[in-house]
Amino acid sequence: MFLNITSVAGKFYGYIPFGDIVLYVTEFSAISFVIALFFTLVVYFTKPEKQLESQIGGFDRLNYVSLEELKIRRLMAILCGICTAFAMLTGDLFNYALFLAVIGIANIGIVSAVKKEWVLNAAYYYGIIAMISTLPLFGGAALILAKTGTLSILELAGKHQDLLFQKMLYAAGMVGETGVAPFYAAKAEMFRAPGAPYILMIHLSSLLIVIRTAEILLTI
Amino acid sequence: MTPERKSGMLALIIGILGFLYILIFPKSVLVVYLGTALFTPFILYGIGIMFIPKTRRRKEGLLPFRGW
Amino acid sequence: MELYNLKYVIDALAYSLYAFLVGGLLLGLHRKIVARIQGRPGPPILQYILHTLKFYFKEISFPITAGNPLYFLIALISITVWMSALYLGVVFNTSLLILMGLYVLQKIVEHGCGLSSGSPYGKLGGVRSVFSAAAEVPLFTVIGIIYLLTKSLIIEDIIRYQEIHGPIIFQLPFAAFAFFVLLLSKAPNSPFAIVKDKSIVSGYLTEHFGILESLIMIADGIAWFVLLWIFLAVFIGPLVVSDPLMTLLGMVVLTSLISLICALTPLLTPNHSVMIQILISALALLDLLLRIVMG
Repeated sequence: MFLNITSVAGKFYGYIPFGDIVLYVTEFSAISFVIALFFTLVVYFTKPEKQLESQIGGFDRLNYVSLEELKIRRLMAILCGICTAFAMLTGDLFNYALFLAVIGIANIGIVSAVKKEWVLNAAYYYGIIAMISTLPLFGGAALILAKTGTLSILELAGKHQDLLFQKMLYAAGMVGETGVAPFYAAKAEMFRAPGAPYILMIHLSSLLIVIRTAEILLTI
Repeated sequence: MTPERKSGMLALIIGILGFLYILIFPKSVLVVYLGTALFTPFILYGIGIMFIPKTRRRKEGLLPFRGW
Repeated sequence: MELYNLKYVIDALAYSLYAFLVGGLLLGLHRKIVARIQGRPGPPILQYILHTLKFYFKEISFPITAGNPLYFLIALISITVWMSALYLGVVFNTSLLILMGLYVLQKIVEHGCGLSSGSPYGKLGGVRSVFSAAAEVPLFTVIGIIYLLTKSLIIEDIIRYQEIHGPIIFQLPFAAFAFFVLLLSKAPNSPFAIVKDKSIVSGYLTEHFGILESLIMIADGIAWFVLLWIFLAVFIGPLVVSDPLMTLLGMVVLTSLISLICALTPLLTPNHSVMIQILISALALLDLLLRIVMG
């Protein structure tokens, strides 16, 4: 039954029945879970850097991140890290979509405390795209449920069904939510904001999610 | 103690504790290998910091070759 | 108390030392070939390893702008990432997907290096790394194409598939090309190496000097070994990978090919580099969809 899972994600170590949220652990998900938690810890302990800004006709200026700004951004970054970690483990398509949506919101939250116009603009555009792409994301999950009667990845892995269109919708939702290839332009400006550890979390979450989505789409 | 020396000492302690752990406890070979991957850089950094020459800067953040 | 695990730890350390030495020599060879094509004598092949040793004993001080402990941890993470990739890929032959996940972490390392130092050059290098990640990540569609052919992503299974059906490079030439571009983008002085462009000093490495640079160079040496090995294992198969000497030969040939390309092509601007990579990944995606629809 688990042939698909073991041939994509490595050894299958078992699942954790957690109410109706079934988490399952494979070689791939265990390693990514540890990575996400490790980076969350690093983010928690790291003080933000002070970016050096060159000035015309004067001395270079240091850009500090104030304590209030730091607190809300650190909270958002840690939320984002925890969501990423559990998105790696979850065995349910709907939960995964929910985690993705929360990561999108947390990503906007991380940069929205920065008082710089271009950063806020970028966050706004990214927010619009993230909101729009929740439609194909949840729509894809709903169509998979309608067609197969289940959202569990463990259940879907055994059957061989023709889910091409649904998978494409799901992938499109993921692409918009994490901001890769066609949509990253909206996101790139966000990475120039000061506060390295928190910005790093945005990048880490989206890249891990891309890989995990590839795993899910190949499995089901 | 300079912050560099301090980070080196911390890394060395983490590395040695980590190596002690992976030498004694894990049963799985994969965990031993991945543990080695995790803790070797800490040891490398800790040992390296012990060897670097004493810093010549006068104040924190002020490099000796920068004009001001 | 018996130390059963001591043997495994020594094995693991020996493997990574071997990988670093081979990778370092290959990167030295890369510089040499590029120099000879451009009509310079070039540094000795040993130079990469010598540099690593030299930087290991240099004085460092944390810049006042740096955000610690990310600033020095990122150099350690860099080594951890590639040593894990070495063990998971070369030693245990696990899933290709995990290796791609670790390749993605390399992007995180570049980004973290650049941003945590607080230097404007580092920041530019980091932002460019994000740019190119947006283009390189879709190249992972290659994984989907391979999965459709072999019905498995475990490297062991892929190698076994090639024992029966011959090298995949002949069956999936475009996927091999896309993966080769991924490999090329990691090479120093390649047309896609926008993160280490000399117009932004040293890119993300600008503020990581002394022992931190040495650690990152160790990681890069191992990374070069691992990436070449993955290409050889996935696309050419047991013909090369089953024999260590043949693997070395394959790596030298691949490195020479990449050096030739690096020496003869100019560095692209960030926009062009990203556009070309997106074009290739779009074609790979098209290839994947075609293969799914055609069954």
